[in-house]
Amino acid sequence: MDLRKLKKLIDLVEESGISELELTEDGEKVRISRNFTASMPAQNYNHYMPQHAPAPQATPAVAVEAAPVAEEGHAVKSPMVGTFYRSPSPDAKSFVEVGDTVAVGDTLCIIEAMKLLNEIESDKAGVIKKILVDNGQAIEYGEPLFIIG
Amino acid sequence: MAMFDKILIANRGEIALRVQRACRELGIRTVAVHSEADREAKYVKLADESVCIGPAPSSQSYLNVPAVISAAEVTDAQAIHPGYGFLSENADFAERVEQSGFVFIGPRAETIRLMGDKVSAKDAMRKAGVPCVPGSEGALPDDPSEIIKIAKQIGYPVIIKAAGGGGGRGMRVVHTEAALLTSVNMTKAEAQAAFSNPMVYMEKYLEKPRHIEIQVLADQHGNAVFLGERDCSMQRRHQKNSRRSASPITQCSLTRQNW
Repeated sequence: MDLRKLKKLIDLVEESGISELELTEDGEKVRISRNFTASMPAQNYNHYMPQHAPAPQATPAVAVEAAPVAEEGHAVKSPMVGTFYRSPSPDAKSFVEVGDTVAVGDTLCIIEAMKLLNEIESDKAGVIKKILVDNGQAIEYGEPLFIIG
Repeated sequence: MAMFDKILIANRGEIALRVQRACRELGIRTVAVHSEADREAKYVKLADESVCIGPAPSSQSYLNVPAVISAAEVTDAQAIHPGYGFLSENADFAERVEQSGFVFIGPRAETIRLMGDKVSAKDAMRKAGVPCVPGSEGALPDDPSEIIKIAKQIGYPVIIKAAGGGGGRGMRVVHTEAALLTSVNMTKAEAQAAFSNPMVYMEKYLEKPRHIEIQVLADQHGNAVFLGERDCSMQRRHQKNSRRSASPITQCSLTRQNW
């Protein structure tokens, strides 16, 4: 049973009211169970046992799923779904680098969608503090791309 | 027969879950799409991959054709399943999906167009020899005397229906000749406003009918399956409230004989 599927099951159990889940698939079996003790606040689970499966290395997330660390500055978010490119063409220079100063309306990157290249413009003036995604990465709507400070 | 490796499901909620379940049984990987508001929905978490395609309003997310197709592109899906509602009966969407190199899991765009326009649908059925409710042969002409003549031929009460209508809207019953022309004009105006298509046609109005559907599922390889009948007579505001299969009034021998 692959770790990604196992992690999904663990997450589902944690977020629902299920106390025990057993799953058999293709001869492999996994049981995830959770004990609530009266003295502990509901959010503290430190008791789960996957059986018949390779024990995952990390302990189950007691902390909430890591939210992106709040960056100082303004996040430029993608207005569309597509593929992110740093430069207008494969051989050309990137539109911006970390440390560049940009004005409102300056092109920061290209998002390719349905064979069309869309120039994404900055909605804030300032300095590029961070570039959050890689060249060629798939982007969803609302995904933070740049931090401008 | 080659099966898809990955399908994008252009919908949400229970239908997305049902399609995911079928994909799981067939060993097909699934991509869910969601608006920002539906980020935490279960159908998103249960899919193999997910893509946020827009803000909360459906028009900017689930009905956003470029966003849905882009999501299929970036995840390398091979086909798009539209579910029901949303873009599933949108012929332009079906066409753009195919043009973009994906398989649209559903009817061809021209079939959706043919059956989505009630006038052309009825015409196709007549040509196929299917008995239809008596009515105007096609769209109503503009000439008032012609309209009156057609209604007389059919016999009152008649119903005026929008060719592009649906969802129980765009219909008006006429009981007397005195009310006919006003009713036609009002229905045309409403049709233009609601469906951007003022075309209307006329039919005999059935006062106490039962609405029974015969469902046939066919694929592109020439296979067809008869799914039985479905009685949709329970309605509110002309929209189907609940459906029963088998219908309480048809007899087994009747359906067996015809099919």
